[in-house]
Amino acid sequence: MLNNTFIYSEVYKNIITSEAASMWLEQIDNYLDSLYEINNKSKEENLNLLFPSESAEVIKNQLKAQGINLEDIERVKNYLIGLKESLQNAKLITITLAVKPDDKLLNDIYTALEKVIGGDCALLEIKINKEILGGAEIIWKGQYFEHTLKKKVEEYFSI
Amino acid sequence: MIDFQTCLDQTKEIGFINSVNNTVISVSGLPHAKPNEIVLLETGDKGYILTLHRELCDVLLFTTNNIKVGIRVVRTNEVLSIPVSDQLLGKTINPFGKCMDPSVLLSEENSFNLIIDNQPLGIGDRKRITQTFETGVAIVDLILPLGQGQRELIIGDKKTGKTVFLQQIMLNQARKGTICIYVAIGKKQLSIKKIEEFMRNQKIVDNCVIVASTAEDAPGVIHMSPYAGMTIAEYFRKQGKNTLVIFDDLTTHAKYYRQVSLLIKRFPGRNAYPGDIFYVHARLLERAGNYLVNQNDGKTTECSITCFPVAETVQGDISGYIQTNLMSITDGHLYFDIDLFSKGRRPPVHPFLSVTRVGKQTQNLLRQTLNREILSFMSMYETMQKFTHFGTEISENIASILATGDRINYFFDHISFRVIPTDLQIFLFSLLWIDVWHDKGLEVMKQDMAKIIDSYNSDSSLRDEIKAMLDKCDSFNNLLGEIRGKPEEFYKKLNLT
Repeated sequence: MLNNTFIYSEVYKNIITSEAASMWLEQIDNYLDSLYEINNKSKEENLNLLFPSESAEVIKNQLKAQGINLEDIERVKNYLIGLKESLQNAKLITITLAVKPDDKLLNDIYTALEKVIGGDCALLEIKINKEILGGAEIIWKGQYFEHTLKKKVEEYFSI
Repeated sequence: MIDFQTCLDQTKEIGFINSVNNTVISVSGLPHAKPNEIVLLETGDKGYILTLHRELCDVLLFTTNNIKVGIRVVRTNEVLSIPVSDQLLGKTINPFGKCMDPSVLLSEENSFNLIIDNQPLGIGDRKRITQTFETGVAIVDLILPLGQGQRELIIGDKKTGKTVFLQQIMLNQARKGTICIYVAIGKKQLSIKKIEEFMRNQKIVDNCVIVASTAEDAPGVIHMSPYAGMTIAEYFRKQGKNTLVIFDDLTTHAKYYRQVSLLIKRFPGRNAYPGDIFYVHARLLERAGNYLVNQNDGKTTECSITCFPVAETVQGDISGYIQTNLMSITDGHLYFDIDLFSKGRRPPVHPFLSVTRVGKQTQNLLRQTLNREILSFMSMYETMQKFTHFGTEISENIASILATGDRINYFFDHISFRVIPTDLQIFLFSLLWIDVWHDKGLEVMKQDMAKIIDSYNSDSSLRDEIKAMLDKCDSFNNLLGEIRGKPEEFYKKLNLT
């Protein structure tokens, strides 16, 4: 799915849906605001406070991999702003399902779509519409794929 | 009738409205969108693609309904076309081919779709203009002759009688069997209704089509209306019928196109018009002309689309951007002077500020000499008139010239209210020129001319005699000699006072 040279590739593995991306964007904004605050806490403590533990670990590892010290405010800020822009500009795969998927199903869908999407960074936008009965409607880069149970029923039983 | 789901199933592409700016929307998605392609919104509204950007496309809507961001959009794989057939005759339609009167339904039998925005035919299909186009208005037919297939701009201020003049042309041409198409661009509904009533009252509605876009319509609809009118004209031309198209008016069309271009953030040029405003009008007007058409029986006939675009000026300023553009595209212009209008001249066509580039090649020798004679006399008359401002005494010669000039102006003003054939116009003018009404009042002249017109219309022998006389003469002087040499019986037939 992601180009291996893409510097945020490891981060994206933890963000699958557009909903998760919105939460990340909010957390990034809060952390960026806190970078220049003077308080008794270290930057690492702030990171652990403002991000969930898994996300905080991912960011710490990625900053370390890029050779960026957490105390180096400018470089951390540039990294996070880059991540924020990438998330805002990420392409969306809109999938309409009949029922709300659990995390495992989301991961399976994401993995299955990797081959279609290629090297682009993309996020899933999940919509729920009970009228389709089952299956999915997929919209990717303006292309529309309808594989819903409702359409199949209409096709098979229309006279 | 195409619907959203069908198009979605066929194209398998979808777009979403990103932003709405008046009647222009920007749509993301639709990866294979083409310029000028029709798109359909989920709400049932239509638009067409104006511009393609990397991630978005700008769509000009054909509706004034409120459109929300996020609405789905689908391609139709079609460009804008209009259903054409002979059913259109006698109807007032919108640029999509639907009747403005909802109670009138046009059947789809024998109708087929023609693309509205077509390329003009090349030089190989065209023929030199050789046939005269008779407007029925003396000042134009005698001084500023036009040809079949010519594009003549009608330019002047508001309320100078341009539409009345065009109505007279339609009346004359429709009676000869020409198909008349009147395109109302952004007009009031009342104005369109008046044109309809005129056609009905004069019983020419069966040879006419009105393509109307009102001021309440969306800018997209107004923008397409002249192209729709020209497409209908091309349909009738293909059938071998001469067609007359009137665009009333192209300055309004330019204003709406400017509005749309500014909304889609195209770079504004002179007077905030987009850079392609010339092309917008040129590609429309180039579709008119004189053509060779292949008929079904294998024969080739010559038929024409004659075009009268209208341009409005402000306080007589003909050096405006759109006005000069149109003057350079067309084959001449008729200038409606507000000063002449206020002096009571009808139509107030200024013979020296008007131009016809093509009409003179359609005239025979008689008309050419007549034309030269009138123009040189009118020029002398204008010069003489200036002397009268000084209040000096004028000689008999000058007084005679001024009196003749006044009679000629009176002739043009009062004859022009009636649509009369050019042969009769020439005959009447010749009578005036040989001073038949010298020392008689203008009212007497008017009454005599009315009697002659009635006699001409009712007496076929008089018609034939006049025609034979005109065909025999190859110059104006010869004609004057012929008329002077006519016996008393001839003048009795004319029933002069």
